[in-house]
Amino acid sequence: MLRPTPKEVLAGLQRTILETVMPELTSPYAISQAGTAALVLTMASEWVDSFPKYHAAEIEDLQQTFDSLRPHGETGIVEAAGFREALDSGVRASDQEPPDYRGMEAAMGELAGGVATKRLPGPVAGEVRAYLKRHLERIRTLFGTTSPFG
Amino acid sequence: MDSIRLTEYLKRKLPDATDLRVVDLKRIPGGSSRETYSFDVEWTENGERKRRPMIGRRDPTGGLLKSERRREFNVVDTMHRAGMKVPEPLFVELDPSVMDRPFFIMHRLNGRTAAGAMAAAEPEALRAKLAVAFVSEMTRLHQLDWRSLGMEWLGVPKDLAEPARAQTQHWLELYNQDRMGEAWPIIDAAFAWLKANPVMSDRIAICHGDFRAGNYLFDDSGFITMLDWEMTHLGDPLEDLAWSSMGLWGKDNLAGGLIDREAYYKLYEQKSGAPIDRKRLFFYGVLGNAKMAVICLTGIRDFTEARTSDTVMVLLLQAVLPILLEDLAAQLNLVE
Repeated sequence: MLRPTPKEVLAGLQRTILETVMPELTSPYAISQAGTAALVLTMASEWVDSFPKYHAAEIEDLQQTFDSLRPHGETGIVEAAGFREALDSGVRASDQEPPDYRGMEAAMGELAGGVATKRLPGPVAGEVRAYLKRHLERIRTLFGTTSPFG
Repeated sequence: MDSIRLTEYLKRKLPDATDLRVVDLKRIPGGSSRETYSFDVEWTENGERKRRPMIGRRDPTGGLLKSERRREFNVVDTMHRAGMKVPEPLFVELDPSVMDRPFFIMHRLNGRTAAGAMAAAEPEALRAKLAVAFVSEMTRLHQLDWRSLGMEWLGVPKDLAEPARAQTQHWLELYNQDRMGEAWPIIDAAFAWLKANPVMSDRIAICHGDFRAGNYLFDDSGFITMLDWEMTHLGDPLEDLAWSSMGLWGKDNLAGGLIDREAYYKLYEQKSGAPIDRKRLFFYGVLGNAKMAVICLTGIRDFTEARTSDTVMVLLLQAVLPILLEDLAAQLNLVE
């Protein structure tokens, strides 16, 4: 294994900021920026592992969600509501190898709009809601829920 | 900003001053949409030595908002003349050869800012006092006669439907511009809802556009001054009320970290003399969360594309955007 690992490099950079740079700073703005940079490096060290896992989980979930939505494309209720194209493009993006992550997300955005405006039929809306719930849970896990504004 | 060029500039602006010096020039944190500098100016005039605290706000190379310096300066100047609690504007300079980028200078007032948990940590009596002053200042702004103040240049909505429609369109365009090709399903849903559920204003008023905790100065004796007028426009006054009471700015159920949200709305009704249209308030609450999400994406894009080195932009992704997504999902009933 090649050392230092990316996480060890980030931890070292954080120590450089905290132990070497910050004690020499006098400008309030520079001190504030250095403090935030050190904090961001702590988070970035976690993100080295967690971002790829988040993306992998999102892609898998979107694929599964569009798989479960696939039969609804045949029923006509989706078409009647004006979302046939969004559903089809999501399914097509899901079928690509590798899957088109942005394409699936964009299609999901349109379907989520259908949920928000109550235009999407119940069974499809249920699947979309369930995905959005899992999506938010993953974001919560990735970033936490701490606000700088309290 | 550098001291030598600033001194030369101020000598030109204050021709009667002799022995002018810029003292304690330092960049200070806060105001992520501008570079903010604190300094004092000393000079001799009519044999008398004078000293004045000032703030310089210079355009950044990147950041949260793209707005015009002249516009913000003119708004603050008009508000100052109208008797609103704003710092006295002094000079605006649009020529980039003077200090690399446009800037303006205003009088510096002492005080502190606080949002959310920080505001909520203040003594309850002070919070109650601040809430009254804050809402009073907001309603006073909304009651100003913008025509007699000559503020048509802000852009007069052509009808009462335009404020909701124009704000939705403005922030949707910025969303599409700054999302870096990424799809955000919940933000997409929010804009779909906003487009499908426009509201009609009951009147057109001056909207600050960023009237919230964290954008005013206060001390232990109370409210001092309102800051950050760069998003001011003519629109629906409930836009400011909804924005100021968004969950992001206030811990638990405290609007702006000050007082209970419902008490806050009652206070606005008392001060404005009119009941709040809850449907419009809800619309502008959704718009506020979507707007702030777009502001986050603008900052994240500028950081990602190296137009700003302000590390606060990364915190927007980690700590602000997730809360906005949660709030939008709850508002629009997007999750079971």
